[in-house]
This record gives sequence, structure tokens and C-alpha cells, in this order.
Amino acid sequence: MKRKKSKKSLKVAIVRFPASNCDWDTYNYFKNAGHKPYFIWYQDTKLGKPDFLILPGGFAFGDRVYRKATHEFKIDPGEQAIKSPVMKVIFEAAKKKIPILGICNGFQILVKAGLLPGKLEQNDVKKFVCDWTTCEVEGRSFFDDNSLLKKKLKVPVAHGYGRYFIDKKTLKKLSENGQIFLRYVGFNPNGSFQNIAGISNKEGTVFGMMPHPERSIHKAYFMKAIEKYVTN
Amino acid sequence: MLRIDSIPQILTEAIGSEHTSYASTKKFLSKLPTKGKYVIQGPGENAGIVDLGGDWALAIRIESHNHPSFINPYQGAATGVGGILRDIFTMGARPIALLDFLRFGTNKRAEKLLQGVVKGIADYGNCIGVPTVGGDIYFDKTYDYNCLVNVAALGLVRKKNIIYGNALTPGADLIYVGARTGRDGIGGSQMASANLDKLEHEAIQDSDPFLEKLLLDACGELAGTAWMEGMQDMGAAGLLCSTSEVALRGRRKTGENIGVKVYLNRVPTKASSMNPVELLLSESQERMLIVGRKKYRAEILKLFKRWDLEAVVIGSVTDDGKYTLVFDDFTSTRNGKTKTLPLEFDSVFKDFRKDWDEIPWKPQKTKHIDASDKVKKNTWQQYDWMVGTRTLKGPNRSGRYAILDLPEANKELVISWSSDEGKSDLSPQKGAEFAFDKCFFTLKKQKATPLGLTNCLNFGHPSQSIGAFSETIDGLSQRSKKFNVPIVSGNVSLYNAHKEVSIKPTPVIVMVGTRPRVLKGIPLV
Repeated sequence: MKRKKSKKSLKVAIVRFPASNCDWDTYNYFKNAGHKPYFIWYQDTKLGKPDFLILPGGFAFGDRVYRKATHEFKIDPGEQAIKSPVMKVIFEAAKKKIPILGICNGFQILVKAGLLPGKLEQNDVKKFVCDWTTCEVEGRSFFDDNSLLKKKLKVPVAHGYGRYFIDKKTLKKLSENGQIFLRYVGFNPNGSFQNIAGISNKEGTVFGMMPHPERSIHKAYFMKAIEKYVTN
Repeated sequence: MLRIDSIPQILTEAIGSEHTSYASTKKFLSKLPTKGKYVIQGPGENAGIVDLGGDWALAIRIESHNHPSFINPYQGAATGVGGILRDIFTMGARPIALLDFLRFGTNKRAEKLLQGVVKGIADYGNCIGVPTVGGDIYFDKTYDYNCLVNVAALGLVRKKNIIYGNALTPGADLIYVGARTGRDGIGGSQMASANLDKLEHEAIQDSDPFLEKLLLDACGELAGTAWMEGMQDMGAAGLLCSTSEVALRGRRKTGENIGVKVYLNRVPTKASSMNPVELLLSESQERMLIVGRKKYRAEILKLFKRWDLEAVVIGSVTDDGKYTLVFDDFTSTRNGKTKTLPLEFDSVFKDFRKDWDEIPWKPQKTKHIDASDKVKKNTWQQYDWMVGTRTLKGPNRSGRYAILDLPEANKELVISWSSDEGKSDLSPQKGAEFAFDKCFFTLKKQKATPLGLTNCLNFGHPSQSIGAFSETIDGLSQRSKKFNVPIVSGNVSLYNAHKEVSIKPTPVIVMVGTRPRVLKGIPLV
């Protein structure tokens, strides 16, 4: 009997902040693809040598930032999360070029932390929006997987603060470097600048996107890109 | 000034409110068929539980938060979601779906209420990460001064991890966990048991979905251990209801002379010098009571600490058959003096009954209007209806049902829902039958086997509405028997009335069934 060649099983670290509510969805996404996901708590300062690092969606700390000594708070996604002890090891991982993906709230955190350029502001409709969107892959693609280029993928969004904003000068650089890898086609749920849905850093090692690949009917495409990138 | 000897009477009044005692409706509710081959737990617990086959079961419950939502639509609706979610995870279940059923008037206020309620539900449900997979919205003049906000929740639990709200063993710990107790929501359940002519803002609680999410995760983890023998959320009449309910259920279950001793002076507070009655009746949100096995005390406290939650042992289960309160002596000026007040269960927690004339319902004949597609879409888009990655058929596609993937049980869950669509106004019995039939035949069409249902019965002032209520129960009972779909949990909301006018009888039904994995885990776009 011919033995099927088994693919490499990736060690995937999922950073869990209090109220990272897509933690299990992300876990199952990798687990069902035959990988070895594990959680890292926001207070942890060891990563355990992952092949891939992921910041899942959700509402880290309820998106809230409390003013000391009162119960008052303001809503500012990612602001409280970046003060977590785990950020130190995330920065180290980025420096070591361990591939990092931030989804939704994870994207917001990466942007707040300065690991990705730009800002994510409140949706133009001033409301949370959850629905399917169609996204087109472009630029240097998702983790350099050229087979995805020009593909139109159905990927859901669910966020209140996903309007990507950036100044013109930086935008030009992003375009030139192919860092804009995902745009909404047709329905733009948040009014983002030039329909931007996802971007990467200059080196192509840190990616952030508002849509949720783990919820997508095309989730296998994203997974394949990650697998190829890590094993090559 | 509170007197110590007046405490028992105040507690009896609080627990005797319609909202907590079902005094006016329990004689009718006892007629409902509640048993069946899929029923693991019927009414009387925090949620009903049905068998999904194999190792798995489903917890299901619906609650109303009508009065608070009319006064403060955002906080009222948000805390409604919080309350129903706690009912589910109190059973050891992980919530997997929410549904909400909204009724507003046709006056100017309706639009504002709708916006506030939807934002309240969205902010809470989205943050917690439980998808809102369906519901409905109607407008009718009858709701001008009483909006309805009914929220249903469903949760998945391994049969061996089901937790009940009981105290079974003398010596066990009573552990308080979650938010601190404040003066918010004192008298909330009494408010829900009277007409809304007087607006009472101070009886509305604040919501903190972030804290609830931590509680959910921590209690879920605890449910997987053998460290506790019971869990009860603090909802209506907070600490009083939760500590007495675990004891009362334990007494019924074991037949032993179970009691509890509660040290009110150990309760974490956020307001200063709260007296015993305030502590007992506060409805501060996001609090749970754990009945912990004593030898695992350190483990339980450590688990909560890891989730950044405050947990304190506030008392213990006893074998003296008494409900004993210990508190700082507020009548004394000397510090450190405590008082002990032992109460008899039979004298405080009575079997409250209230009889009303069953006069026939007088039809109002106002229009009952389904929300436009635009309003519906604007509503469901604000809810995260996909988190959990189980939603196969969500609100983006038409039809009053949702399909959720249950890979654990190798099944799909079909949830169908319906109200009477205004038909109860002419005949409460026919309205109930209509709602049942809609749910039942939707499940049949989806080729799902019905397992059970939960229902929320919204009525007006009992003096005008008990006749209608009785008819509704008859309609529901007959259908439930005929088609063999038992009622596993539910909620009654009376006093939805303004001045002399009651709302139309408004029953809401949510039915659940299962089928094989037809869609194979791929959502319908």
C-alpha cells in the first residue's frame, strides 16, 4: 500500500487576550487543517517557538480603556491590549521574522502596536457590521502565494472599527511595495480608504486583515498560502 | 431606617414578587407538558436541557427584559442578553446562539427604543462572542408604552458536565465570583412586577460584557472539573434568590435538612455601607454563585484568579435546615460587631399564589406590522451572527429559522421561531396554536426531528389578561401533546400595561430540532 505523504504539521501560537472571542474558531481552523495550534495568554512572556503566530478576532479587554479611579471608559480597540506583557514577545517574534497574522481585532492590535502602518477607525456607518463581503487578492498576495492573485474570495466581516485610514504618502509606498494585499470588491462594509481590507508590513512577514478567513467558505485558500509560506 | 426585625418581611415581599414567584401563573403553567424522550431537564432550573444524542446536550431558555428596556433601552437590552447567557452557562453549557424578539409601538418613541435596544444587544452579544442568529421585529400601537425585548439563548454541554443550581452537601462552600455588588438594580424584579406608569431609572443595572466574557470562560472551565456541586447565577433579587434557590433545590433533591449560612459582610461591594437588605436584593450584573466542594477551594479560587476575576467564599452549606444571614450590625455604632439572623425556609420562601378572575380578552384590533426588510437588515447586520463558525443558515437569508453546525454531535441544529403574529388579539388560543404550528412545520420542512421548545409569554395586567393567559396555555398544551414537543423552559412577563391598558397577549416560541449534517459544515452565503 502506498503511504500518503503527510504534510508538515505547523506549530501555531494563538495569542489570547481577555475577550478574544474568535480564539476557538481560529484554533479549530488550524486544528482541522492538521496543525498544532496552542494558546498564549496575554500575560505570558514565552512563545514556545511557533512556526506561525496569530492574533485572533474579538474584543480584547472589551475594546475598553478605563480611566483610573472611576468606572468611566472609552472605546478604543487594541489600546489596552498593547499594554499586555505578551506584546514584548510579539515584537521579538516580528524581529525574528516569524510570520504573524492579525485578524479583525488582531489587526487592530498590530496597527496600534506599530507593527503595521495606518489606523483603523470607526466604520463610516458608525455601526457594527457583520455580513459576507467579496475580497480580491492583489499586491504581493497573502503570504506571497501568487496563485491567489486576482482571486475573488467570499470572506465575512464582523467589526465596528475597521475603516482603514492612511496618509497619501505612506499609501503610495504601500502600493509600490505591494503591501496592500486585500480589497473589498463592491460592498465595502466600513468605508475604508480605497476599499482596503488587508495589508502587510514592508518585509511581508506581518499581515493584518479585517475579514475573517476562518469563517470563509474559501478558508482553504488562506490556509494553503500559510502552509506554503512556512514550509518553503 | 432599616430595623433588623423587619428584614424577614422585606425579603418575603421581594421573593413574592410576580417576577420571581410566578404567583399568578403557576397554576396554569403546571398544565404544560414538560416530559419527553429527549428531555434531560425541564422547567425549574436555570435552563431546560434536551438530548442531542451521544455525549452532547443542548441548554435552552428565553427571558424577557421588557420593563428595563423601555426605561433604558441600551442597558435594559444589554443586561437582558447578559442574564440569559448566564442562565445557559450556569448549567455548564457553552452558549452557541442568541435570538431576540422585539416589539415596539407606532409612536415617536418606538424608533429611539429600537435603536437603543439593537445597539444594546449588539454591543453585549458581539463582545462576548455568541452569535445572534435570528429573531423578529413587529410594530403595534399596543406596545406604545410597553416595548417587548425577549432574548433566547442556546448552549452546548457534555452530558457529564451538566451543572445544576443546587447545594447538596453540608460543609460545601458558597463562593461569590464576578462583579462587585452595588446599589444598582435594587428592586428590579419588583419593578418588572408592576405597571410602568412610574419610570424608575435607578432600578436599571449597568452592563459589562467584558466581565461576562471572563465569567463565561472561567465557569466553562470550572464546569469541566469535579470541583463544584452546583452553580447559580445572580439574577432577579440577586444574592437572596441565588443563595436560597440552591438550598431549596438541594432540600428537594436530597430530602435532607439542607440549609445555608451567608456572611453578607464578606460580599465584595462597590458602594459603601450597604445594609443587609441592599446586599441581598441588589441586581448588579455579572455575578455568579458557586457551590464548591470544600477540598477544592484553593483550586477554584486560583482558577478564577487566572481569569482576573474576584472570587470570595461568602458562606457554606449547612445541615440545620435554616437560611442564616450574618452581617455587620448596622444598628450599633461600635465597629466589628456582627449579627446572626437565622430564618426558616417555610416562613420566608413561601408558595405564593394569587388568583385573578379569568375574564375573556377584549380585542384591541390594532395593526400588527412586520418590520420592513430594510429595518431587518439594518438590525441583523449589527449583530455578529457568525462568530463560533457554526452558523450555516443565518439571518442574511430569509426564513424564520437558523441552522447551526454541531460537528461534536455529528448533527445540524435547526432552530425555528415564531410569535402569534398578532393573532392572539382575536383568540389567544388560536394565536398560541399558530405560533406552535409555524415552528413545528418549519422544522418538519427542514427534515429536523423536534426535541423541545422554550417560550416567552408576554401579557398585560393580570386583572385583564389572566383569562387570555389561560387560553394561551391551553393552546400551547394541546399542540405540545398532539405533536409530542415538550416545553423545557420558559418565562412569563406580566404587567406589560400602561394606566388601564394592557398589551395584546404576545407569546413567542423557539423550537429546536436536529438532523444529519446535510450542509457538511459549509455556510450558505
